[in-house]
Amino acid sequence: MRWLHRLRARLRRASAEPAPLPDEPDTPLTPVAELERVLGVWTRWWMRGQGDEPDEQLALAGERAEAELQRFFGQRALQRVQAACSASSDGGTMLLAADRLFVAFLGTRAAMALTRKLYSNLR
Amino acid sequence: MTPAAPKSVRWLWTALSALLVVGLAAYGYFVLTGSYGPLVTVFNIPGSFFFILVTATEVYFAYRARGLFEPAEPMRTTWTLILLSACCRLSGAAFTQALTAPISGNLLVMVKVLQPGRPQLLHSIGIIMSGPVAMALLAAGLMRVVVLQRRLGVLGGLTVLDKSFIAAILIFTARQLVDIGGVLFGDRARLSVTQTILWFSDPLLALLLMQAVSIRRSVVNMGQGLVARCWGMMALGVAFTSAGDLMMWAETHGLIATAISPLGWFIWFFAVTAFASAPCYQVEAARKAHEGSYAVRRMAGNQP
Repeated sequence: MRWLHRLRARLRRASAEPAPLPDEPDTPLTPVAELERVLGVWTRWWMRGQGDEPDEQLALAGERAEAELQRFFGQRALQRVQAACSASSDGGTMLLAADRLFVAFLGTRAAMALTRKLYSNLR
Repeated sequence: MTPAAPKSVRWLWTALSALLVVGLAAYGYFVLTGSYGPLVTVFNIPGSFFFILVTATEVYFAYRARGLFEPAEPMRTTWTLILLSACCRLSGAAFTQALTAPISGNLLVMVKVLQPGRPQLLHSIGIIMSGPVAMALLAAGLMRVVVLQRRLGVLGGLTVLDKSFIAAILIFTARQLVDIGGVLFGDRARLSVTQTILWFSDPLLALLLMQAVSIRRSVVNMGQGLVARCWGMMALGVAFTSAGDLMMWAETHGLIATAISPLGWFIWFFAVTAFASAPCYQVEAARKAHEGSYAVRRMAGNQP
């Protein structure tokens, strides 16, 4: 039965694979295009998360978010967020926690700029 | 990794250091000769200019910090309140330090609108605006920050030392209320409107200090980031204001020697510099958010 589950997951992944996105643009994207791009990245991570493979891209984005958290809020704030997110093993929780702090204390525009940086050059 | 202080903050503290060098030289002269002349000149001319320029800097950066947030965002209202508080302190400083100062460089004296001397009404308006009005607006702004920090889980619990400090503030406020009661039940005929309004300063300052203790705790819990330092500076400004108030109270009650009391006047320069530094850090944090990129994909050391 296990092989059947794997086959079903692979078929679902193949059919639900979103259209390939363009490479990182040189010119800044509009907010809607930016949102679409980030959502595309999230969708692909979620698809990968459905399988059991470790997500290298999510880990990389998590590391970047940690660096930014440390820069704006400090080492101890980072440790607190890490401790709060340690219950869930995926980097997605860390990204969400970081994003909440960025939006609250830096404003949406600055948080969007940070989001662009965090998700740049990720597949 | 501790981010460097922004250039504006470095400028502010360098200007404060320069003023302190001049002020301490004048204080040294006072200690040696007993003459207040140079000390009064330092406070009247470079001191007044410093006060007004640094508060104007605070207004400018608070306006820019306010502009970083969308109207629906909670921090927009916070920065609006802080901006209004800074505007009140600026107009108060203009009224008390420059426009009513008995100096030949006073604009109102120069255009012969006012005779040399301190016009009492303008001076009183200045004191009220830079005192209880500015404090009430700042307290409202800081309360919103405390609430937001609590909601986001960055506001740590208060330690025993923090609670003891808050208890000391409450005792000091109660002591001042006793003084007010003494005046109220003693000689009501001497009461002026200005004095009555100024009585609100002490409870407001007590509230501000309690907020500052909470914010300081959250800053200690966060570390040395730009946003943390912004609110740390705001708490420092409140702490210096309280220290200045305490020195004034001690001076009034004769608890400080005459030779030492001028040192307490310098505290207000520290307070205004700390308040002005706070929005500079906020603006710098937003600037840093837009700068740099993660162009090269690396798994380790991925700094922008």
